[in-house]
Order: sequence, then structure tokens, then C-alpha cells
Amino acid sequence: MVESSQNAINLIKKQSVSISKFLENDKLMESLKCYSLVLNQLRLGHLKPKQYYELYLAVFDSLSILKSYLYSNFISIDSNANKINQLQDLYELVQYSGNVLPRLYLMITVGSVILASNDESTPSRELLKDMIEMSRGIQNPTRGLFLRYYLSQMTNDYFNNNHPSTKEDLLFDLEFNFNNFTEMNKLWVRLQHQGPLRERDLRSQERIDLKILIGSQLVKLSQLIDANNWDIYNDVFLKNFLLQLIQCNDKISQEYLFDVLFQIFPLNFHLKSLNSYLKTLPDLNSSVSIDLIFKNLISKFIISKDEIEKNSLDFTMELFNFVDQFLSENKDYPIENLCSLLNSLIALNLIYKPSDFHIIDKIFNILNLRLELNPKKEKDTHLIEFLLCIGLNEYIDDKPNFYYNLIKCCGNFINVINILDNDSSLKIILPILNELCQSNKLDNIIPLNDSNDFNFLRNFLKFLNPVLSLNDFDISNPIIELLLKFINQLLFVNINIKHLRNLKQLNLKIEFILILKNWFSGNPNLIRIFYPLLITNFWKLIRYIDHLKCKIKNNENITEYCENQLKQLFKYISRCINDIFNYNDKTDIELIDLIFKLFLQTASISDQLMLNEVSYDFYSQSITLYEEYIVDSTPQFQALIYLIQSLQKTRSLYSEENYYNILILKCISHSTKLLKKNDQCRAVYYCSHLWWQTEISSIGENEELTKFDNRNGKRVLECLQRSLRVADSIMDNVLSCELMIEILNRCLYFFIPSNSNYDSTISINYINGLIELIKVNLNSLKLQESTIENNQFDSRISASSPSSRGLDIVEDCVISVDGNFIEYNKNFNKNSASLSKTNQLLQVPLSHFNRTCEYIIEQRDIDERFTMIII
Amino acid sequence: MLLLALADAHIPDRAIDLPIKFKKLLNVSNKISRSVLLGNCTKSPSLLKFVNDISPNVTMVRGEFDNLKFLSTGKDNNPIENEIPVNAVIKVGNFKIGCCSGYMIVPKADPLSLLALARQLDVDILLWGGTHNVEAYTLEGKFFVNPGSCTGAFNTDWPISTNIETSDEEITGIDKSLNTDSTKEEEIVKEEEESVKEEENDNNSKENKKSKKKKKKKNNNNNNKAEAESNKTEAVSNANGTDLKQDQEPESKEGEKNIEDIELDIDMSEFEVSGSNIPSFTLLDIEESTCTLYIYLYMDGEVKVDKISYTKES
Repeated sequence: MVESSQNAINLIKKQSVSISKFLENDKLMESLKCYSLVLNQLRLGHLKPKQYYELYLAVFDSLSILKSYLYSNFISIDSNANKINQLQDLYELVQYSGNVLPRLYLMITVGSVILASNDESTPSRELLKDMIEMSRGIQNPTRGLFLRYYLSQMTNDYFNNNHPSTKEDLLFDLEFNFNNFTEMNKLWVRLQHQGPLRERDLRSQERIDLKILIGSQLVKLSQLIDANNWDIYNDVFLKNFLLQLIQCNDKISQEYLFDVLFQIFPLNFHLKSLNSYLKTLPDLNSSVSIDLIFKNLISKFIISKDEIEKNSLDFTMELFNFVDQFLSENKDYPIENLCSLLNSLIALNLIYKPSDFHIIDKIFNILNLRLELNPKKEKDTHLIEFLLCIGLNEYIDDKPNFYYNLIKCCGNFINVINILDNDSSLKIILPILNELCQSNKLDNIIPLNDSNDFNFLRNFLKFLNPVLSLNDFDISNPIIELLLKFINQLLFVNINIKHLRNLKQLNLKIEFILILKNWFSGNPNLIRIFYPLLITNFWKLIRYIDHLKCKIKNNENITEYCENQLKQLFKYISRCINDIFNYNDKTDIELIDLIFKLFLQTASISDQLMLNEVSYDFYSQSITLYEEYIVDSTPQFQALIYLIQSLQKTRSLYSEENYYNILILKCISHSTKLLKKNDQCRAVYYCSHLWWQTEISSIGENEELTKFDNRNGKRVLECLQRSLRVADSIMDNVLSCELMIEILNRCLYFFIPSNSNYDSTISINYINGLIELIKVNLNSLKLQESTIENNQFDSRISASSPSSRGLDIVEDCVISVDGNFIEYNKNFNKNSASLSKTNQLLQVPLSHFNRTCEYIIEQRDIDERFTMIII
Repeated sequence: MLLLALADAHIPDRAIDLPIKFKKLLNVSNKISRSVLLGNCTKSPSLLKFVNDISPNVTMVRGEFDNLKFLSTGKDNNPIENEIPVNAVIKVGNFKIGCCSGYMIVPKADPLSLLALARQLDVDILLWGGTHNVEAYTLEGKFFVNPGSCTGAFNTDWPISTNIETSDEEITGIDKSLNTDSTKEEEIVKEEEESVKEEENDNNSKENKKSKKKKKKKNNNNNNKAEAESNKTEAVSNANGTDLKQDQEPESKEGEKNIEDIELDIDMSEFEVSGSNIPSFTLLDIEESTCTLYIYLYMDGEVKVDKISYTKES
């Protein structure tokens, strides 16, 4: 076939050479004979559109030889009637050509030259009518299509050069071209139905290859209609065009021609005729992609953004209504196409009404209504793709803000997310959360002024509902990490006191936290991860309200409000902490430890506000928790020391109920009950501080000026003695020694403040006795460990001046406050068992004692009493 | 070499992240050779990653909100579960540096208790945390550094100011001193710098002994300054007080329902609520027996740097 079309082209070229020669010698008739041979080639069957097009081009070139011959010999010399008559004779003559197709090509060629004569006597209209009538003679789709394309090309100059002066003229021109267009379209459609059914797709492809022929005819029509002449467009052209489109009932034709229509006619035509378009869409062939046509139409509106006046935006609503109507009538319209329709609508609205999220919400309502018909959880990939791409629109310049508004205003979007199956919804939540976290302007977009401002929060939490049924709640799970970050930001902005103008806003802030709390309560893991965050913010509000209460003393209402609110907030905190406890694994020591500390820190805060009842309650809750759930020795020890640290700083618990006493007695009692004696010993010597308040400078206390209520040297001493008894009873003599040295250091701590206001705590004699005891023990250690050089050992004990430091042997091990041995530059410490060398172990108390002695010596310069300490 | 000390991030429970400017500052490769996390810094995987990227040599001690155990990767990338220690000691140059979070110090942040710990750990420099306020001083020839909270996180300790049994005017006074808190903070730092220098210059050990008390006195001076300031602004605050009264009287006559709408003309700094709102951290530049401490403070969107030198007595 290729060969035959190539042969045909060769033949045409050869003949064209002869034609040129004949015409050079004015042998017109000879050349016409050649032309019948040339034109017959166009009757070749079974050619692919591309091949036929090549053939057509060869013929076109060949015919142009004739055309230019006729033009130069009959028209351009000087146009007189005689010559035109001769041409008209020729027009008649070529009709005797044997075959209809060559005859018509020749007719059109000659006709086009006659039209070009521009002579008033020329019966142009009759000629045009005749040509278009005669063209009906070819009903073979491909040949007919090309013939009419040739007609269109040959008449092009005429229509360009003869602008219609009257409406009648215009109507004639339009009719001619529209007629040609209609016929071309019919032939194009008929092409689809040629050949066997199985080649349907092949036919479709061939047709698409030929679409430019019809398209160009449509372009010609558009050139005839002036941009101001919408009446003609709408009443004459469009009416017929749409009618033809519906009648042809062909998918390719309808999709393509609508696209061309949108592209070639001016924007204002489309705006004015929008209704006609939209009315036509449902009448198109059922296989037509309405969404594609719709998308093309909207693309035109988007490209022409700058041409559209802002006050004529009704068309956006018209487009929305169409989609709404169309989808309500086509409930089985495929999801994929539905998404495409909605996508176009969203793009349109983002451009023309970027701040109107109610319309976006309505758009999602359409989707929502559709999805609700299906009881199953949705995981259609097109749907997910669509939802993922919403924020990717190039016209959104501030994505966090877009998502913020989307969530705030579009409840239907959120409903859609909730209809999806869990994996799919999380897939969509993750990038949105990420965008929201990127916002540096959260401050500006999230004000909290009245209860309407909860819209975002409530919708946001509903949006996050799929998170409640997450499998992996690890903090390193990206969705949890992002959520933590964003909730943190939300709280930071909303609980920030900068925004506080009145108490109403304060109430809103509390409500804000409670809404979050309520949502997190839906999952124990979320309770565990997020409640500490909420507690921090309750703390902040407590500090603020207390400040308020202290500042505004002249308004009883405000004072009362503050007192009630403070009480409420502490109750919320208690609820939160207890919920963390109740809903989680009670054997998880890390969790119990966290809860213990939350109780203690809340107790501290309430104590700072002098709310002794509240403070006592939290302290007692923490001790109860300790008693029942902290069972391992390491956490027990640390918890007790922390409790001691916290109690030591309290100021409110000294009222008649004497809560302080109740609490510290519990504390001491637990210290003495620790399993390991070394833990016991340390905890008890730390307890000594419970009877020795120290200054809190922020409330104006001063170590030298303040009279502290709670300084009881006798009790301090009792504790230290008790601790010493425990140390002495420890069989591991290295450990025993070390503990005694630590107690000595505690003694020195209490010995230093030589304040006469308080009972003397530690006497010189006591310290000297202790040092003597330590020396005895160190000596027995020395005897035991004969491997250690005696000289060094002795010199260390008898060290009496700082210069003896020079004798230090290599020390690479010390003991930490919890009794673990520390090796330098090791990031994690180990118990004594891992220390290989015994003398290494021995060095710990030795050098510690040595350093303590040095300290005593140094203090002698400052405080004479130290000179009485015998070392 | 440079040693980074960070404390009390409290991410995610109390803070979102380090200030971006801190991150940019620290995000230089191969400059900082090791870092110390002084408690409450281990609950954010992204912070740990950030610190680890600065230098893989990280020492951590347990703060009250750190887990007991910490998962790290050992040889062959096998996860190892270690107990986070309460104390750690590292050797850098001629210095032994002790680390503790401050949560096992009784009384909390007490200089003598810290001194006892420094003695027990046999260190020249003690890094500690837990107070969320940056601090640096020398005591008995040892150098004590608290880098503050690197995020400016909320602190449940006694806030710098609470109002117990004080009159309105006094509160306003404290307020004013707090409003100028950033400068106060700087002053402390500078004064400490001076005191360190004094000690350097003054080899007389009799002067050294009172270093703690000297520091206290300076703080007192500071308070006096603040009080003086408050007296100046007293008239203004009184005027505000009467304004408030006038606003409120008609409201309360109308009924209690409107309590929510009363305009609150009260300024309160974040500092008073959080106990700290100045994110800070420290870098220790150590060459043999000299340690230069750089204190980085994040104030009003800018990073401010202070410098203190400490030399180990030979």
C-alpha cells in the first residue's frame, strides 16, 4: 500500500513536469488530460489518512501550477469580461472530465480563479453555491473530507478579501462555510463506521489524525464573526453548531469541536453563551467525557483571568450549578470523571473567588453525597489522587493558609476524609499536616476571639479522626511527630496571654484545651502522648490567672472568678494525670515515673500559689502512686530524691493541718524502707534537707536576712546520724566508707551557714568523730588491700596542704549521686561489678576523702571554725 | 575544642523546637566536637538527630522527664538499651567536666550542694540544668555553668516573681523589673564575668573564699536597682489602677454577667508564666587549662552572645 501511494506520488510529480511544459506552451487542454491522470490518484483506496494527506499535498502542488497559469493568463494582465467569460467556459469544460472526483477538483481550482477576479459581474455567489452543491457528489469519507478541505482552502482568499458589507452578505458567507463544516463533520463521523467493527479503535485514531481538517474549517468560521458580534455568534452560528454537534452524536467529534470552539472564539462569547453550552452537555453522546469538555472550558476561563471583570463572576456559580445538577441526575457517573469535574470547579474558584471557601465546601458536598451512597469505606485511587492534589494547585501561593481555611470552612471535605478507609485518609492527612506545620504565620491566621473560632479546631480534630485508629503510636511515627508539632503550635498561639483582652477570652482558652482533651481521650496512646502537653498549658493558665488575681484586688467578682477558675484548672490537671494512669499500662515504669513527676510538679505550682489544700492533694497522690506502683529500686531511689527536692522548696504546707509534717514523715519512712542499704543511706541523708529551708530569692528570701520557719538542726542531725548508722552497717567496706564521706560532706554543708538565728546543727565534735571513723575504716581498707602501695596511701590520708595534690595517683573513677561508678568519657555508666581492678574501686573513697580534706583546709581561711576540724 | 551544652528542651511536651536561629548557628559541621545534654532533651527524635548530626559524640544525663532507659545503636547497628546516667564526667583538655541535670540536687540548684557534687565527682567544671535560666559562676575555684533551657520551656519551679502577700505597688515594681529582664539577665552575666576576672587577677585566696557571697550581693544590688525603677513608675501604675477602677465600677453595678467583658489592662510577660522565656545554650571552648564560655541567648528574635573565661588553677 505504501508502495502504491508512493508510486502515485511519483506519477503525480512526473505528470506535473509535463503539465508545466504544456502550460508554458499554452497547451491547456493537454495539461487537463494530464490532470485527470493526476487527480485519479486521489481515488486510490485503502490509504491511511497520513498517506492520503501526502498524496493530497502532491496534488495540491500540481494543481497550483494550473491555478497560477490561469491567474496570470486570465486575471492579472487586465481583467476584462472576455477573459472572465473564457474562464467560465473553462469551468463548464472541466465538468466533462470523466470522473467525478477529478472533475470537482478542477472545477474548484478554476472556480477559485474566477472568484479571485474580483469583477462585479462575476456571479460569485452562484459559483460558490454551485461548488458546494457539486461537492455533495463525493460521499466517500476520506475523499469527501479532503475535497471539502480543498474547497475551503481555495475559497479562503475570497472570504478574506471580500468582507461582507451587509448582514445578508455575512449570512451568506456563514452559510457557505457552515455548510462545508457540517458536511465535513458528517463525513468525518462516517469515517468511524467504515471497515470491520474490530478496527473501531484504529478508525478512531485515523479520525483523530484528520481532525485538523475540520478544525481549520471551524477556524474559518470564527474569522467571519467579528469579536463584537455576539448576536450573530449566538443566534446564527452557535445554534446550528450545537444542533449539528448533538445530531452527529459522535464522541470524538463532540469532544474535539467543543475544545476548538472554546479556543478560537473570544472569551466574552463564552461568558454570554455559557448557558447554551451547559444545556448541550447532557445531550451529548453518553460516552463523551463531559469532564474533559468542562475542563477545557474552565481552562479558557483560567487562561483569560485578566480579561474577566470582577463584577461578572456569576458564571462561576452557573458552572457549579451545572455540575451539581448534572451529578444529581447521573448518580452512576464514574468517580474518576466526577473528581475531574470537581477539580476543574475548585481550580476555577481558587482563581476567581480565592477567599470563598463556602463554595469549595459545596463542591465537596457533591462528592460527599455521592460517596455516602456507597456504604463501604472508599479507597478509589482516582479519588485519593484528587484529594492529594487539592493543595497542589499552582494558584495557591500560601498553602498552609489554604489548608487552614479548607479545614476550617469545609466540613464536607472532612466528611469525605472520614469516609475513606483508614490508610487512604492517613495518606492525605500526612502532607496536609506537614504543610500546616510549615506555617510561620500561624499567629496571624488563628485568632481566638469568640466561640466561632473553635470552628477550625473542631473541624481539624474531626479531620484527624482516622489518627485515632492508628496502629503505630511511636513518637517517631511521622504523623504523630507532626501532630505533636502542630498541636504544640496551636496551643502556643492560642494559650498565649498576649491575646488576652478580657475574661471571656480566658474562658475560651480553657475551652480550647478541653476540646483537645476530649478528642485525645478517644485513644489511650494519644492520652499518654498529648496530655502532658495539655497539662503544661493548664499550668500556664494557672500562673496567668493567679497573676490576674493578685493584680486586680479591687474587684470581688474577678477575685472570685480567679479562685474558682484556679480550682477548676487544678481539677482538670488531676483528671488528665489520672487519665494517663487509668488508660495505660500500669506496669510501664517509664509511664508511672512520668505520672509521678506530673503530680509533683503540679503540687509545686499549687504550693507556689499558696493553695495548700491543692498542693497537699497532689503530693499525697504522688506518694500513693510511689507506694503502689514504683517498685524497682533505681526508680524508687530517684523518685524519693526528687520528692525530697520538691518538698524542700514548699512554702504553703505549714498551716494548722501541718501537711508538711505528714508528707515528710512519709518521705523519710519510705527512704528507710529502700531495699538497698546504700540507697537507704543516701535517701536518708538527703532527707536531712527537709528540715532546712534555703532561700528562694525570687520571693524575696535571703539567706542572711530571712527568718526561715523551717530550720531544725536537731532533726537534721538525727537524719544524718540515722544515715550514718546505715552506712556503718553496710558490709561492703569500700561502699561503707564512701557513704560516710558523703555524709561528712553533708555535715559540712550544714556546718557552713554560721547563722546564730538557728539551733546549731552539726557540732565540731560530731564532724571530728565522723572523720575519725572514716579514717579507721580507710585504714582497715588499706590493711585489706595489701596490693596498694603503703606510702601513697598514708600520704593521702595525712594530706594537710593543697600542695600534696602533686602526689595524686591516676584517678579514673568516681561515684555518682545515685551510687553508680562513673568512668570518664563513657557515655553510659555501669555498676561496680564491671570495675575490674580492686584498687581502682578503692581509690573512690580515698580520693573523695582527700578532696573533702582539701576543702576543709581551704575553708579555714574563710571560717575560723574549720580550723577546729581535725583531719 | 568546642563543647556544646544543651539543657531542658522539653520537646514536645512544653516546647516546639529550638529557635531557628540557634539551629542555623549550630548547624556547622566539624566545629563542635562533642555535646552534652543536661536533661529533658531526649524525648524528641528530631532534636536528638540534630544534636547527633552536630557531633556523634554525645553525653547525656537524665532529667526528670527523660526515660530511665535510652535506646542507642551500638556496634553492628544493634540497638542497645542503656540506663541514662544521673551523672557523667568527661575529660576535655586539662579539665574534668561533670554533668548533672539538677534534678537529683538537694536543695535544687543550691551552690553548696553543687559544690559538694563537684567535689564528689572530682571535676573542675560542673555543668548542670533544670532551672531553665542561664547561669555561670566560679566557686572555690571551680566553674559552674547552667546553659538554661535551649527552648525557653515552661518551668514549674518558683517563678522569678510570684505575688505573695504583697501590695499592688510592689507587684508593679516586680513587674517593671521583669519587663527589663533581658537586660537584667545580661547584667548578671556581665557581673559574673567581672567576678571571674577579679578572681583571675586576684590570687589572694582570702578574696576567693567569698565568691559566693559576692555574687549574692550583686544580685541584691540588682534588686535595689529594680526597686528604684519601680518607684519612678509608681505614679504611672497608680494612674492605671484608678483607670481600671473607673472602668469596672459601672460594670459591677450592671450585674455580674458582664464579668467576662471587663477589659483587662494588664501586661504580663511570658517570663512570669513560664518561669523563663529566653532560650539559651552554651558553648565551651577548651584549650588546655583555659575554658572560654560562650553564652547564647535568644531575645526579641535575635541571638546575643556573652563571653566568660575561666582558667584552671595549676
